[in-house]
Amino acid sequence: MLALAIDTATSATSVSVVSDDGRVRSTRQVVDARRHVETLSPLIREVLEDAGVEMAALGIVACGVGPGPFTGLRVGIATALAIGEGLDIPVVGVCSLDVVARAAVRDHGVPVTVLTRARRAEFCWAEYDERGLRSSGPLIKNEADLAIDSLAVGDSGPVQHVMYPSAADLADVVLERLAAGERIPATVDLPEEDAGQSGTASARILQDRARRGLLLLPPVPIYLRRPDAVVPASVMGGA
Amino acid sequence: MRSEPLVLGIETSCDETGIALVRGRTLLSDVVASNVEEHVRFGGVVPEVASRAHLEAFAPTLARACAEAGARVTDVDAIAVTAGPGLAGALLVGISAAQGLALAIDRPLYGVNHLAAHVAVDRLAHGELPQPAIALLVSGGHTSLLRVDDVTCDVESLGATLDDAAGEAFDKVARLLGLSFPGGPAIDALARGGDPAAIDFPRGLTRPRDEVAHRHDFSFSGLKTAVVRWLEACRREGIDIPRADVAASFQEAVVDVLVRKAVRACRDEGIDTLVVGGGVAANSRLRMLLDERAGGLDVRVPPSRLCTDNGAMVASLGVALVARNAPPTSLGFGADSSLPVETVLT
Repeated sequence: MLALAIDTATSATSVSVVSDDGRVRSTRQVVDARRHVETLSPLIREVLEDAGVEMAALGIVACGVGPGPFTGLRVGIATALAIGEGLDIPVVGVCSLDVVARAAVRDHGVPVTVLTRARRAEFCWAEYDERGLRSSGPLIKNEADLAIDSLAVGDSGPVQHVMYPSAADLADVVLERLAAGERIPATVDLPEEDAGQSGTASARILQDRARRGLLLLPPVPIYLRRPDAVVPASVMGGA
Repeated sequence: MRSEPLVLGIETSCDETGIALVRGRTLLSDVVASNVEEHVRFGGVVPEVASRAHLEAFAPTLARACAEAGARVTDVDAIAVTAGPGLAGALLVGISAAQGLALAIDRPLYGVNHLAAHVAVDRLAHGELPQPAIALLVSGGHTSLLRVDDVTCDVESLGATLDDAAGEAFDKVARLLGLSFPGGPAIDALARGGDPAAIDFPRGLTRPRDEVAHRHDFSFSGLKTAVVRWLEACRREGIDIPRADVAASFQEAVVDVLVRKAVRACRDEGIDTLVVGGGVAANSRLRMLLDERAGGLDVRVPPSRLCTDNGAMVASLGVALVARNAPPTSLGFGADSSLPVETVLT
């Protein structure tokens, strides 16, 4: 089976085609935080051509479901969903921080903290043990709440690595979990909270799933919180 | 009829996820998942709320549109999607999905102008549009007068609102009157029991000097302010507010200007077809006044459900583009929240 993987949860747009023996047939990444939609579809076409793979040969679409800046995140998920509908194949989501952790732990073999920029002075944040298993998060944290050494990848000092979620690693997570017998859940209810609460209820649910080895998610964004919108007084109280 | 192209239309520019299938001039399905309810408590459309709702609604809405048309998505000959104008984040959901679908089934994709689509939807209701035509588009986001020589490639803006859209004015005044969002239907209903001549609210941009500089333009913010002042005066003097009269008089001020300017644009341009679209075209008083003042004009107002945002209008424009052999849009086009009306196809 061939998997098409897409991640747009960070400034990067990453696309890969991976076969179920783990072989990466083609992979590409473009970093441009403001041009996900302009980048993604042409990149998918390019990756398929490079891999010599026809659309119809795909068996599954995997997409990073964040957390990350919402607008770009939705570009990847909407595209993945539509490809799934068009080809009538399943679409599966994975937490984009898990994808970064997989590469970081593989490269460094140490517990890691993965941070991606949310917006303004905020980060999406999760911690992983030396086997790459998520021990806490994903959460949204303020810059002020983070100790500087937690920016490190690794525990031997404040080593900083900038990595984007790679679609090849994303496909790897999905194919490995499917091979292990994990099923794609139809829904995972992730409560959205107000900005101040940082999505702790969602994090608990996702942590509990990770502890049980469940990493596959439906293709739905991990928002962690409600849209920022103020209910006007005249509507709340009537005119 | 089988030889006519089957086009899938996708619309996500504001708060309706619309997906429709049109073959030629036949509307096979038109499914609209509205997220307007989610915006009611905010008193207006919240872009992030709309964007989330579009993503959630996309797959089920597509499935329903296909099922109701008795078609599979692979039966589609071409896809059309709204590329703008509209809310950028909301547009992006539809555009991303349309590009993914076009890639998956390898069909041409057209990124189209929302306003031109509001004009093109009339082909489904009344047959091919006689051209040139004048179009009056009135909704919560737009108020425009267009000269349409060819809806697929030659649309010219004659004028537009300088401030609030007509539908936006309805929303704001509805809020002042304690009515719920969206304000259009609420004011229309309340106005039925009121006197449209009770209060002489101002008609924006109709003074003699405006007739030169802003002949085909609109302005509704002064009208809204006049309503605020009038209500304040009532409260100050302890008078019970005649809400139905306020609603009727406000509505009259809006539709009077809309109809007056639309009819005059037809006369100025020597064109005898007027097509009306956008959510405000559902207003009963607007329809009545158009009938009264049409003179010899052929006034085409599609049924209300085709006037509000939907996938059918996008698919209808898509069919017209396919029929003209228009070159499809290259993959990788983005959302243009202020796409000019002259750009029918991105």
